[in-house]
Amino acid sequence: MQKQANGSGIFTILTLMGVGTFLAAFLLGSSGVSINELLLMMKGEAKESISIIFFSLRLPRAILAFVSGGALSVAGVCLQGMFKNPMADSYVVGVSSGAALGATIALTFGFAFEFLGFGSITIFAFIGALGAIFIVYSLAKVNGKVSTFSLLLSGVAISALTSALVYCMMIIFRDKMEHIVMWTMGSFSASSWDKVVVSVPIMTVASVFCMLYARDLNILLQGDEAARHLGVNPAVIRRNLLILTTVAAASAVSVSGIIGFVGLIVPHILRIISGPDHRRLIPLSFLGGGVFLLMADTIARTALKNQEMPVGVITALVGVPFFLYLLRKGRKTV
Amino acid sequence: MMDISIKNVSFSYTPDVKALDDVSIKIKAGDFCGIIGPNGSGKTTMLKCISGYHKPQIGDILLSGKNVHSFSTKEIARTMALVQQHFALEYDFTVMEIVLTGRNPHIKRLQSETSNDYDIANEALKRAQVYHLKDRQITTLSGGEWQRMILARALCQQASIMLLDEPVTGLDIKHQVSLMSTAKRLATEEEISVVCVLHDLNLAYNYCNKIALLKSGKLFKFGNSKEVLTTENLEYVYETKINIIENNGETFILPVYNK
Repeated sequence: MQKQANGSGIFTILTLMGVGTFLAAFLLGSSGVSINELLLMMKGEAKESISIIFFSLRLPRAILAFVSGGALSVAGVCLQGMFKNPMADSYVVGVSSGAALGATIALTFGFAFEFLGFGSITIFAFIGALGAIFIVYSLAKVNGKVSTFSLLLSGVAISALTSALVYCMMIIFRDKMEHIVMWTMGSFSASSWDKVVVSVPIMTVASVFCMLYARDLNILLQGDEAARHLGVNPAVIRRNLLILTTVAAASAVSVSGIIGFVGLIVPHILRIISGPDHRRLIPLSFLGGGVFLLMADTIARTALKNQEMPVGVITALVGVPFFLYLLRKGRKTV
Repeated sequence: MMDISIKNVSFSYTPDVKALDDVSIKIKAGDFCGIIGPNGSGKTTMLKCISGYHKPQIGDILLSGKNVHSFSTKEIARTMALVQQHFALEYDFTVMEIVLTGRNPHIKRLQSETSNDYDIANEALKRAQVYHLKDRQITTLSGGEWQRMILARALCQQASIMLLDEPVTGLDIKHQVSLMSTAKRLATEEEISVVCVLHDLNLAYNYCNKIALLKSGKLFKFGNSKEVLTTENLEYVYETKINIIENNGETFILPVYNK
């Protein structure tokens, strides 16, 4: 009972933090927007230049950063649960490296086309992410059964292979090297309403569907054989969740590049605070991941004068020390 | 109420070694059937065939006439509960949260537990004698408390078949007796079919009314426990000298200690 109250308390706190980070994202930046101007804009009385900054730059960017953070965290928490492995994350099973390869192909061969308002890089990144997971999953499947170890190991192996291909292409096409490097470090600077309209619904729907499997995830932790006797088919649940988390993470990666550690640290922090029940953990992770990534993006945008930092750099600078602290604290809590 | 028919079942993990070789037995509702035999004789394999976890290459497992492999996952869970060997779960769930997962087979995906489910869980906790632990974190439980929590989870399922895989291994004698007594009452009072893999011959003798004695994947003897657990049978299967001692109406099965 006490835990339940604890859960709703964290929910309130995270919601308030969400409102705060959105406000900060609206107000902070190279051209400052004051609260007054924000209020005027709500009434439609603000200067046009401010409206443009708000509506075509900061608002879509903030929405995209928040929902991507949420989707990456939900994907992380589900993968950790279904593999009973605290190190699992969409990136470990190959999403990021697949996306990087896809984006690199689009960048180096200079495919310039648009589809539904998406540039070729976004589309190739998405296809690359899905393709990598499909290969990893097929490799790990033996006699219709997918073992956790072979899935994670194939993920690591395919990641190494695709990274090698990316490096090869970087060397061959030296003039594109900076482009590729910048993309792989992740950024929301190219956010647009086109991206919001397509990818935000995909990420949100995939995350909500993940929540439907919360009780199954709690049961899977008790082992596959026990799960069968509790009405959960481990193979079916793993397959469905792998599809959902891949779609969620691939959408996030394709619009923002590679942003590490969100799917890893946010679920771990929340697991320590609110307990391991996925019925609380998944929605909390969505909120927490959103707050974390939007905050990181605002820092990335404003920390240096006249220069944006890649958001992946900020999440890693914050994420790695925290992650190491958790590791030091002992495996029991992780 | 359900009976279990195992018909000419053979199962191999690898093509050249048969883990189970042409085993046939019938377990009736209300039986407490012990599966015993030396290490590697196929005890756990047999339990996993009954549960449908393994699909035998030859033969069928029928639960009240219906092939276990035609059951859906939810049907399996409503029919058979499993008390597995002790396992590690390093997450801070409470005892109640784990026990309530036993209600999952009866709950639809979008529903959550009703007050009726909580009532059933509370009843199961009491019967397994862990009601006082219901708000404890599972990471703080002793081995005996853990196994009784898993028993409570199984009771929660209200299944007509209860499978136990070495449920008392590693427990002290008090917890061994209390867990076996609870399982025994399920068979005698509620006509649940209980199938239990055991290493302890004395527990098997005292609690089981039926014994399947395995040797190298073959069924050596099946029948009433007092007829199966004889010096002759046990000495042959375990390749060890055995003493069966009668004292004050109690029977003790002991190896002859070669010192």
